[in-house]
Amino acid sequence: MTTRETTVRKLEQLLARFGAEAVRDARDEDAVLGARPGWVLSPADEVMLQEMLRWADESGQAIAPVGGRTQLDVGNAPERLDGLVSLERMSGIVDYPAGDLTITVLAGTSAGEIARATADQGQWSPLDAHDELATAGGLLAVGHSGMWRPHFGELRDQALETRVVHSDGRVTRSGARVVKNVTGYDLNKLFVGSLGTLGVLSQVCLRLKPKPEAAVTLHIECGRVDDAIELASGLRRAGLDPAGMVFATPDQAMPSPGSERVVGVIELLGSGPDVSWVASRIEELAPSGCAIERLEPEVGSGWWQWLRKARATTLSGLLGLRPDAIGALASKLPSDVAWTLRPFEGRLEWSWDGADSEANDILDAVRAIATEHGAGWLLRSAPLDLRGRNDVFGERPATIELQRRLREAFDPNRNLNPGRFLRGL
Amino acid sequence: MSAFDAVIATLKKQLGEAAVLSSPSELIVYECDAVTMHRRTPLAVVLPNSTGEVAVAVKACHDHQVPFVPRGAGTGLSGGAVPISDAILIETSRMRRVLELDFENRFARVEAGLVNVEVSKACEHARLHYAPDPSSQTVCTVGGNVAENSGGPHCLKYGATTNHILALRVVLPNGEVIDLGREDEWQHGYDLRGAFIGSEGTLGIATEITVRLVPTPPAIRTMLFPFPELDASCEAVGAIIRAGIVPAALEILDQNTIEAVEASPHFRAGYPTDAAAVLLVELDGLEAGIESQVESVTSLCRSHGALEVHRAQTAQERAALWRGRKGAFGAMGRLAPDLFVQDVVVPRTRLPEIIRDVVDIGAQFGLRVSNVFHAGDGNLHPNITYDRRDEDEVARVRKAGSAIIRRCLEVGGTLSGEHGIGLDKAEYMSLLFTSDDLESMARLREVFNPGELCNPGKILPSGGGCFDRAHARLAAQEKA
Repeated sequence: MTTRETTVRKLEQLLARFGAEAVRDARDEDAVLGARPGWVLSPADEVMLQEMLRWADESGQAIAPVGGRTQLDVGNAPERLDGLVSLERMSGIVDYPAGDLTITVLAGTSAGEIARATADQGQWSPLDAHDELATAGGLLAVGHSGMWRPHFGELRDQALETRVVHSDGRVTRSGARVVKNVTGYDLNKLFVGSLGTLGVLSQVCLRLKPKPEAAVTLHIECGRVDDAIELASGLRRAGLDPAGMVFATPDQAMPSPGSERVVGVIELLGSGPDVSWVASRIEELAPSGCAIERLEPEVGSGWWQWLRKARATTLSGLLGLRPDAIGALASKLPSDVAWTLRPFEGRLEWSWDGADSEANDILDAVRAIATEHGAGWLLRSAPLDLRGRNDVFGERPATIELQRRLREAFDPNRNLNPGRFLRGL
Repeated sequence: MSAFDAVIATLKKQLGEAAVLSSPSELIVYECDAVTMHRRTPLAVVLPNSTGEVAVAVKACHDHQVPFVPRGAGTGLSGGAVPISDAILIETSRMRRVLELDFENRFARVEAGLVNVEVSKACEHARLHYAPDPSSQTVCTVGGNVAENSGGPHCLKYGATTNHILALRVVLPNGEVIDLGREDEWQHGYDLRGAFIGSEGTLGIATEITVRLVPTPPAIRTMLFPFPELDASCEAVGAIIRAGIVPAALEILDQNTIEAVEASPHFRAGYPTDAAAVLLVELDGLEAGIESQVESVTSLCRSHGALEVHRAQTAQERAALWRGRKGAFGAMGRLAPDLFVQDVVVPRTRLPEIIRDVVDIGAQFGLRVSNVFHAGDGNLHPNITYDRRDEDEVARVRKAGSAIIRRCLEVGGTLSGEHGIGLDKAEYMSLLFTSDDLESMARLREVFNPGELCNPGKILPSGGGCFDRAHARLAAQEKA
């Protein structure tokens, strides 16, 4: 019997045991970065997930775990891809003791569902998701913090307990459902941001925050990038940390008719008197080249939704550098590259739309700037051939050998998302 | 010449005689950390001055296959800096330079041996500080804090050490020097920085540490609420959290602790000795909104039975209220020659029932248990005072400690909130984790520390991966 016949037979067995909801042929829309899988498995629970992963590993099937499919474009194109393991059916709240400020959910639970459940208790999920369809497991596996990182902190710090199914079918738990814990090695940190290459998250306990009583969104227009950066520096020096702060080139931001200036929004969260006082201080501190306006809540909320929403462009990426240096990168980008700048966090998102034939030159130009400044590099979207020629995660880090050994320790046969994460893992 | 003698001779030659202690009278002070139950004198203590010298020391141990144990100031509370067998101790206490202060980007790069509180002192003029503040912060080192992922009273709002470490320079157990993390928090691949923090010196030795600095809040209000019942103080904590208020600190001291503190000339804080418990609340933030929070907290405490409220009016009064809390462990030295500090965590909502159980367990074993704890985090510190010359009492202390742990685990708690596992609790790990869980942890350790020369025998139960044996050993030990 050929390998293919063996696979088909096993899939038929899984279908017979678990039903059509759990096993199906892949379709075009299941492709991951140009690689089309043959099948999709959708386990209903952790035990089923264990069996599926064990089978895939033993039979050398390369899989990509997927959640809400909102970040399928993250990473390098897979080296191999035989099937998807979708966590869509493993959704739901397992435990929500509101008084503990924790919530435990199955990994396939969407950010929207968590947000709705916690809102009833006056609490907030820390996932700060770009899309309410994104799942807790997917967000943590990718590990990119949201736009309100100054308020929520790093995404990697939000997972209090994780359950992970490894490629050999073992389930392991790390951490606990408590807000403070130093019991054993902090494996949660390894799993968050590992892009599913060390195991598949099946359940997570998240830290929650009380929802602040007041929120104010300020709209800012500045004549020059430097004014925007000066404002951010002034706020940092004054200890007036906003929950989020984003500046953008006008074409990246909400339509601002008649304006060619740098525009931005600042989110302030806290008690009513605090928020009102900080808003006044920001107005006082703003350089003369910046105009500030308090937005109506629904308008402010619309801004953030718009900024968070991913847009398809020929090229896009994220750069990271110290807050005092990130603004200079924005000014150096080619003039037709659009950007959004998060000066408090030292993050600069950039994007460019145009013909594929010109994309390579733009990519080289942006990359040269990143290299010159030693900026962190993540390529988010690019034509497939360009992705293939570049590691989307940038140069290999000096720790690659340790990272490779970790990968080998947890997924020795390299069947979990092979090739998708850092090259050389 | 034994391998140890060879290492000691090599290091004396390479680092100088003054950097290597090897006479019994010099070594005796290194026989334990702050948990005096675990003692073993190292064969030598190396006191390097730089990352390069740490690397030389580690490389020498690695080349001769000699176990070594990292140590900061020795204030650890889990036996983490105590060897389990013949070993060389590598102490970073001479490495205490501030290497870089960057107020614009809010970080400080310091050597591992710098004392915790010195970081904040170095940047207080810029109205910034380093948030993790373990009670031993005037003595403990930043390197030790990284190893233990130390906490402190202000963890409730600001998080523990792991939330405040941006980057690390580490000497791996083979002597290689690597950098983990970046000051801009960019994560490039797996979060090795995060995995290293709290690894209790078993994955290598951090030598240079880049810490996050946070703005010092302009408004601080510190209040003390005496309660007639310990339970009521715990209930008040739950009410404050449920109201959506996150104070900077929420600390409870029970009557036994109050008595010890007030009897101490060094730590006396003016706590009312007739109260069953006091709740120390610190709120911080902006002047604009802080008074409304003070009113809410005061009202919630009163509605839960608080007898009165003491508000610190001056910096001196604030320091006095904290002096009792931070000096509580020291004050217990007056009660008995020895102190066993337990460190466990429960989900916050289970606090009232667990505190009742802890009191009952103390009574059951005829022991004096004094509770001082980070109530907002659900992090308990039952302190048992005893005399280690009394073998029967020592046995009862162990049994009571074990009973407290088991009860906390029953309600979904965990073994340690900030002191670590070390030697003290390694054998309990199999009560909380499955053999597969522990195997995953062992795999991480194996990647960094393949020969287990670096701080062997800590965190994971002994037995080379056979965790069921550790479980059986624990049961036998308790039966005895």
